Amino acid sequence: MTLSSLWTQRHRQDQMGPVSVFGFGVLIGLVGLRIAAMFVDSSPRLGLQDEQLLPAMAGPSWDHLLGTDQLGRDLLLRMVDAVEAFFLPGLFACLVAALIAVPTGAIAGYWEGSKGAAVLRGLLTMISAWPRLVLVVVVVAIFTGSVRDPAAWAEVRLYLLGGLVGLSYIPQLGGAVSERVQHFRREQFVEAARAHGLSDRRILLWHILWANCRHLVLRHTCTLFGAFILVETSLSYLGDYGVPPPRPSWGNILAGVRHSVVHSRSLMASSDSWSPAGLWGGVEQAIQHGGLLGVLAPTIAIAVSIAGVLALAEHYARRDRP
Amino acid sequence: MGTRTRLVGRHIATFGGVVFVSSIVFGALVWWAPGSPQRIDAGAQLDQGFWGWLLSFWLGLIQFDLGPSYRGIPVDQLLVKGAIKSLPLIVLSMILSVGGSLLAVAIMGTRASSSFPLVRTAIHSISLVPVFLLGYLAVVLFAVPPDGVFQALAAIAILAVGDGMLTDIFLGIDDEVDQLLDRDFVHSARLRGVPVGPTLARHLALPLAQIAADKMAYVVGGVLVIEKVLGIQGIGWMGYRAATHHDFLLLLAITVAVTSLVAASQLGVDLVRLATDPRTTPNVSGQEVG
Amino acid sequence: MSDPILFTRDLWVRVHDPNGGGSPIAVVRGANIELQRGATTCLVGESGSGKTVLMRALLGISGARPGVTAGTAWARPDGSEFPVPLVGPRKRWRGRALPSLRPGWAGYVFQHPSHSLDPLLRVGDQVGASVTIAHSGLTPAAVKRRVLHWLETVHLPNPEAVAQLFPHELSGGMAQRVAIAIALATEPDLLVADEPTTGLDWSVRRDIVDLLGELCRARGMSLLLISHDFQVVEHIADQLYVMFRGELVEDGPRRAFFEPGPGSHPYTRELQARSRALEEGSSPPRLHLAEQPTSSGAGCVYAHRCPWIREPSPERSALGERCRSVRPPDFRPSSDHRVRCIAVGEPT
Repeated sequence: MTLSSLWTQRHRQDQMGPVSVFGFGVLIGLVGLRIAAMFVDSSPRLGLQDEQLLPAMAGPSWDHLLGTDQLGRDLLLRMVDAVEAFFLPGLFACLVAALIAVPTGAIAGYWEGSKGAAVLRGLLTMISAWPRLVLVVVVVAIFTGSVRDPAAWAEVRLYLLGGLVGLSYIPQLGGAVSERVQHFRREQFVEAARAHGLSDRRILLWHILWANCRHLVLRHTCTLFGAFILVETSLSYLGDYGVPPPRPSWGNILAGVRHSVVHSRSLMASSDSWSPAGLWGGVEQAIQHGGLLGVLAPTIAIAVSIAGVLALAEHYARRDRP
Repeated sequence: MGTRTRLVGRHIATFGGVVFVSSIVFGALVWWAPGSPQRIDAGAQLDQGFWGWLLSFWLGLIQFDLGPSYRGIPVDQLLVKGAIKSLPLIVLSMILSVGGSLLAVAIMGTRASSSFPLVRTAIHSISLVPVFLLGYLAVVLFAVPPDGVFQALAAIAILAVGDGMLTDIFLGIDDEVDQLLDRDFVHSARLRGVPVGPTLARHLALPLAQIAADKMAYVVGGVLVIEKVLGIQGIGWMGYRAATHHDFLLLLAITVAVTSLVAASQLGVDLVRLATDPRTTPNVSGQEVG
Repeated sequence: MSDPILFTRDLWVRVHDPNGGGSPIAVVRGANIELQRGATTCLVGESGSGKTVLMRALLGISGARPGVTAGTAWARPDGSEFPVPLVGPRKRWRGRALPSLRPGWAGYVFQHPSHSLDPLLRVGDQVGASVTIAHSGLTPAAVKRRVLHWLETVHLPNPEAVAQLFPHELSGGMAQRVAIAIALATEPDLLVADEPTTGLDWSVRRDIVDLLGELCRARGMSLLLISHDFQVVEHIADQLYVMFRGELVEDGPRRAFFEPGPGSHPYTRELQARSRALEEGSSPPRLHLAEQPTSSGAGCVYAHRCPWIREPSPERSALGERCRSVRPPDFRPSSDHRVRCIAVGEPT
């Protein structure tokens, strides 16, 4: 049963809701930060050159809005600079996934039942069994074995990370595309188009992929970008496979502050770990040490960026109603 | 019966194929990666090429004797030791996440994701926080002890929530329940007074298993992170250490184990589907009526 | 004389935007409907006119979307009246529909038989579940005997074999017969059949409708048949309601629709012309779908498509403006026949 009035209702949803506004806001913010990061160089600022020595773990002040980190570097500058760590590699991940998954999925879906489609499907099944983080750690570790030039490797490593995360997302995107293509392949209009003499390639590229899979792909690339932020910050936090320490990443900013916070915390709470006093003691210590902002700023930045990117994915998911 | 056996065989073959090809891919990476010590180690027996080495790895896998790792401890022993710590984390966090979501959906009573924007936002925002951050907060703020039951409980809770796990499972279940309750046969049962509970249970079991199996790979990744953050010496922790120490034999063994775990969960869902859903196999008895 | 088994007074069903937000849209506006005991009532109208929404809301089995309802509805299973609880904002775990009446008082045959059967259960078990609702405490053998009886009642060949099948192994016509058997097995007083023939082959459509009519007559059961096709309902309807865009624009007994007499609603004429054309194989009259109804909601719901306004005859030339702005009153050509149309009410 179709209710004509429901259709008009549905079209109204296509307009920007709060979710879309939030998503695009975060996207614009990230782009802005990435551009700002080109003019910011936070890594050599150890306070030892011509500038005066900054106190480590200082609280916020007008000169340093977010205070300083454990080595006396301006936290705000490092936060901005850290966008570099995931922005372009994240886009690279999206590119890799889209370039491989869309053709693979389209072929597997359109020529469903053929031998080639079966092989492609098998490949997708296999990749989907590789846990993303495990794959990244294993491959990066293996290639780190032969590094001669650590500085150049650091940059390459981020793109390798991007490529691997993109690769690990291929089954999801490819599966979604192939399902969609399959759905339309069975529709009448494809038969009609073939009867009109349109070539398979034109039907597939224009009528199915462009007209009906665009939003689907955008939606998945947004999710993938969020996944990349997650992987990059996780690995940078853990230390060995993410962004190497002189360069900032939201993950390693957290890790840097951790040492001093955990240190004071463990001194403090060795006796009564689970009492309310011990709990509050941890918070108090963190505030006194000026480390609270060092914890909060990256935490909020990570959560908001991922939320924003996922909101964007939701925005495209709403537009993507076949 | 014949078709069913064949389908079971096909699923098992897919599982075997995934594990087999994965081990070749990772083995090749280990073998041919620039500066791989594996090749240098194996160079002692010069007659052994890549395939010979891989063959001995597979044989070792079957015989459960993979030889010594980097520090001389047998790899299989390490694997078992890690699995004993990690598997409960994986299984229990999965149960917690699925069970909690199911409970929440049942309690809320209406379509949760649209009727309770606040609940939805709350779940989203907690679940968006990455596992490493939750682990970090657990250590810094809540002073999770470095060992024992509390640590394990914290790890399970974090895994059940973080990295978007709870969002995906909760919304997945919410969606599934919603679609199910709008099916005509459920309406029909409600109208006739036939108890709806068994119908719902029958129809939800498979989607739930599917949702959980789809998240398996993510949980394994989360286990790696949380074990590293909290210092639990499970599979993930060992894998991470093996990677930094270039203990590639152990790394390969862990990768293959983890891949089999994920593939096996998918296999399990496929087999359960075959066993419970009549639509997966054509019934021959239909023809005599038609 | 009038002994309704179910009736409504000014029933409204409003539909919520599925994603929340926006004001609800009224899809059924002020319906007064009376289902007489033991009679066959037909609800006719094109797709989207709100027929299904109306009946589902009334029986408490509406889907996710219908939300707010207003008005009253009463059921009279045996002379005494029970209010029918109307569905408020959708609760997920609503339990049994029509809780104040005995279980299985009403049966529903859905449009798509493949959707209304539980795909994971054998046909026999599904009919058996209905049987145990009507008669509790039966032995398994007794349940099985009744299951076979019901499958035979709906003229299924080889009931023993059918009972062992799963729904996906049935053809469309067989599945619809099974669905009818499931609805009948609770021994309902009222059976609602929602376009029971739409998903089926032409050759079995007539069979299903005849089967429904025959069963209801034999068991003294009330039947409500929802259809968009006058040809389908012609030979079994006792009472008809015509619905357009959520409004019941005409109702009356069978003779008011199928025998020449005083005026009927222009929409009814359109539907009848359409069905006739389909049967004769000629092309049906063109539908002016491009015309949009007036947004204000005032005036006749059919005004934007009404041929009397589109191509007015000289004596009706003044009607157009009034039809678009004034809500048409109910006109009664005879005591049991009602037409909501200005032009019919004011013959010139």
